[in-house]
Amino acid sequence: MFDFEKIDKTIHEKGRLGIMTLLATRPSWAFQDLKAELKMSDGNLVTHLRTLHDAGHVAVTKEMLDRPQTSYSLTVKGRQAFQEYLGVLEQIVKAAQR
Amino acid sequence: MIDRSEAEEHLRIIRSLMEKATIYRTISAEAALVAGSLSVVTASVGASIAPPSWDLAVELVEFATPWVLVLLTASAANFFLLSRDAQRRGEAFISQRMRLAIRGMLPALLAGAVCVLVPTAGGWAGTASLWVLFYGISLLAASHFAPKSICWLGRAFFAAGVALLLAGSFVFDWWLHTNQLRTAHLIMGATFGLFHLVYAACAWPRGAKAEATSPQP
Repeated sequence: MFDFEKIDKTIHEKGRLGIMTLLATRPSWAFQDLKAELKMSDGNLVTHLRTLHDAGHVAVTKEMLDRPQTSYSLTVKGRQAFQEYLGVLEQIVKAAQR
Repeated sequence: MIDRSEAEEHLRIIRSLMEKATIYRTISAEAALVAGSLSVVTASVGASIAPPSWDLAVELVEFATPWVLVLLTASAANFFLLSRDAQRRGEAFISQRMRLAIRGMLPALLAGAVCVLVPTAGGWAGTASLWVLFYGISLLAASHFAPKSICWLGRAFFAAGVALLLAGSFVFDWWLHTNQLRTAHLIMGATFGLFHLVYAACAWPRGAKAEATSPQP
């Protein structure tokens, strides 16, 4: 029997779940693209990204293209945590169907 | 404890975001502006200087050459803009989504290209109508992972192509007695020109200015 309390609370919040999902689809996302896709305010997005970064799920890259750009990507730990989180959700749905 | 409905809701969020992230815009708004403007100019100039000629060899040069140049210029602009966007997102230019889009669009585009080599019963006006139809089909072929604006553009070209071919069939005699070259240029300007300009206006990235000035974290 799976212990549902083990679910990653950092990812489970809807805003952070959206960020993790988008980061799982591409190698990296620019801050402005994440903001546009998730329709979040700058402050909200920065706070969520900082939480995920502190948890070791997200890596930050700052580079100078035609203007300064900050990009975010999933770390190996973050990708693994996201896959485990998906597995937990599937188990919850399956368990409720029995 | 998380219940089933909450888990399902979170899975829905994940699925919807993943689907959105795989959407691929095959034509950038800026490239559509280039294509639309070039088409309107080419059609206006072409229609105004078109001689009432029935010599197909002469017409091939006068009709197809400027439009092939428009196609090459607009395609080059589109590929440049798509590669710039891919670079900004940290993606490979030839991504899996681009391969899928090209694979879907290619058959209809090749069919349109063959129309240049085979004169149709409707003359160049008929060929232009077929180009409109095949271009619409090619855009619709990539509509599964395209934004809504591309789907609407595909529908508009498809409907215009069908309407033009039907109109051409019903008023075929009229078509044959008009200046074929001028009619063909006008069809191209009204569809490839105006449709792309409308698409560019609808798909133009809103808030680009705000993005450029908003603070980075």
